[in-house]
Amino acid sequence: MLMAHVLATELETFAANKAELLATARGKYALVHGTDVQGTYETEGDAISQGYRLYGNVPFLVKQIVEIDQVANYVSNLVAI
Amino acid sequence: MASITAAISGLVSVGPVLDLHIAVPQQVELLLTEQGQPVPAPVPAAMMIDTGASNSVIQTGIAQQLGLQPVGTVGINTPSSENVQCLQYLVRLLLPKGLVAVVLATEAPLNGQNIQGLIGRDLLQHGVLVYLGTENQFTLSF
Repeated sequence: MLMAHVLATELETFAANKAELLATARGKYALVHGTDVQGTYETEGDAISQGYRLYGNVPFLVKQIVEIDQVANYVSNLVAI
Repeated sequence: MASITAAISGLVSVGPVLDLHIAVPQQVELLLTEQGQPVPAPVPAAMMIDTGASNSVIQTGIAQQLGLQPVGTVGINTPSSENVQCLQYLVRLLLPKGLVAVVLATEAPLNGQNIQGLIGRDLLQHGVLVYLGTENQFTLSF
């Protein structure tokens, strides 16, 4: 956790292209590596598999193209954040 | 549908914990095999079934043990924090009875806990969970 800087470049790339992605591929999943938006996919699994095929076992970002990101919720205090 | 039943003495205090192994996803196993590199051994883990967790969690450090790299990020809300950005890793959960589940797990600290992960609703949505409190047992079926 708290290591999102590993994907900082990819997150910046996604943000810079978000408006265009929303216009063309809303609801799909973007595959981003470095400053490159490689493509968009119907499912998260497809995008991840393509990321491994193209880039190997290196950091890359798969992110759903939505207006407001969905968050994960934890109601117990098991997660120590 | 295959079922896993666990009997746990003191289920109330211990919780519904499954002993399993966390492994690299098939895509990474294939890559490593093609490159002639060793595939990291699956990491043993006790994971608690948590219906209050929307997404499954792996303890910080497990992904590094497996040599995995992140493939996503997610903001998480807990009782004491809001929208903390965490990394996500694709992993395989090797469950008892040969069951295998692929999840996009959130990496987060589970400090002070005797568990190495949480099985959240992202996985539970595919199965049936029966909590037999009177018998100190639970059954998970997929």
